Amino acid sequence: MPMLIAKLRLLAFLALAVSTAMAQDWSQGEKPQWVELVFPSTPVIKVAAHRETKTILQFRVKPEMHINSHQPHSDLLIPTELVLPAQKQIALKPQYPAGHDITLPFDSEKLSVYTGEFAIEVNALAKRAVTGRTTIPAELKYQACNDNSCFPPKSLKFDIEVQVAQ
Amino acid sequence: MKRNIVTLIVAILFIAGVIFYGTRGARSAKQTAAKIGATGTVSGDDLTNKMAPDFELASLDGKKVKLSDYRGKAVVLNFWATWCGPCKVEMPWFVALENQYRAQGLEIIGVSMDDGGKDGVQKFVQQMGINYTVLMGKDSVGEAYGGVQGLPTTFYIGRDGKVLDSVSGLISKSEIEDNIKKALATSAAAKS
Repeated sequence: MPMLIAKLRLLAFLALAVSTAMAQDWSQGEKPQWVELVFPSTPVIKVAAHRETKTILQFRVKPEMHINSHQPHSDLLIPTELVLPAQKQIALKPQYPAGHDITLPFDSEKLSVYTGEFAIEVNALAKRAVTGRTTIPAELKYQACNDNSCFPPKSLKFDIEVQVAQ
Repeated sequence: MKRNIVTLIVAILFIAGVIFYGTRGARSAKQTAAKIGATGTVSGDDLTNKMAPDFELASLDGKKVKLSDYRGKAVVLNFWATWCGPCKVEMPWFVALENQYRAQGLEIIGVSMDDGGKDGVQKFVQQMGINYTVLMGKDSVGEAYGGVQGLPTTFYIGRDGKVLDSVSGLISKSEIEDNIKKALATSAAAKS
């Protein structure tokens, strides 16, 4: 009898553990991003005083999706933009790649888009001779579509570490 | 001793019940997530055969418009935005279908999900020659319709106010027309 009770207790404990574990499955995921930062995973911009440096940020658009380039052909369309907050000591300027033109099955209008992987170059210049590190919040704003649907504008947020050396 | 055994058995049965109903809930959540899939949208399938959620939105000339004002008509409720290319393709079809079927009781309503205010929408609507009602949408209305994410998303509503079908993404003009005919063939709900 004590053995039976012990076994029942063990069974009850296992059942509780399993039900708790399964409860984690019920949570809803976040709404999807259509673009991801692929390289570097933790961006670092190294800046030397009075000398401009270039850092490449590589992004990837999900398969079967496209996003408007930085200069779409229509002003109704929402351009891709890398937003870098102004810094007192460092000037940061993104340089965008040219989009490529596509036409969709249902429409003859050309769209200037990014698909697959694309790179944005960030030019950095320390305004004065200072050293140190700072982390700035960057934001890639974009609007994505596939062949027959478009999705609301989104924002991919990530941090960039800026290291200023002499 | 007996009481301990009974307590343990009851506890095990209770937890087994939690697991059973929990797996059903998790399966349902996964099915919903699967519906979202690559497009990131819930298609609004959950509203089929149910009363279309009522709402009140402002038209471009500032009037308050309720969906329930159109009870007795076949309604095409189309969520769109000025930045949506596929939406722009189907708009001339809606214009033509509105002209063709208005006398039979068709009402097309475009709900703009633009964030930038009505001036840009007004200009766009004029340029496109839109001849049907356009309303300025709100997130709460989108949420009521399954969380409209992909545009265009269109709901076909019968004369009785029930959703017949919902479509996310661009479809052909003939498919749109077929859905309109189904909506026109419905009867208004009998007054109780």
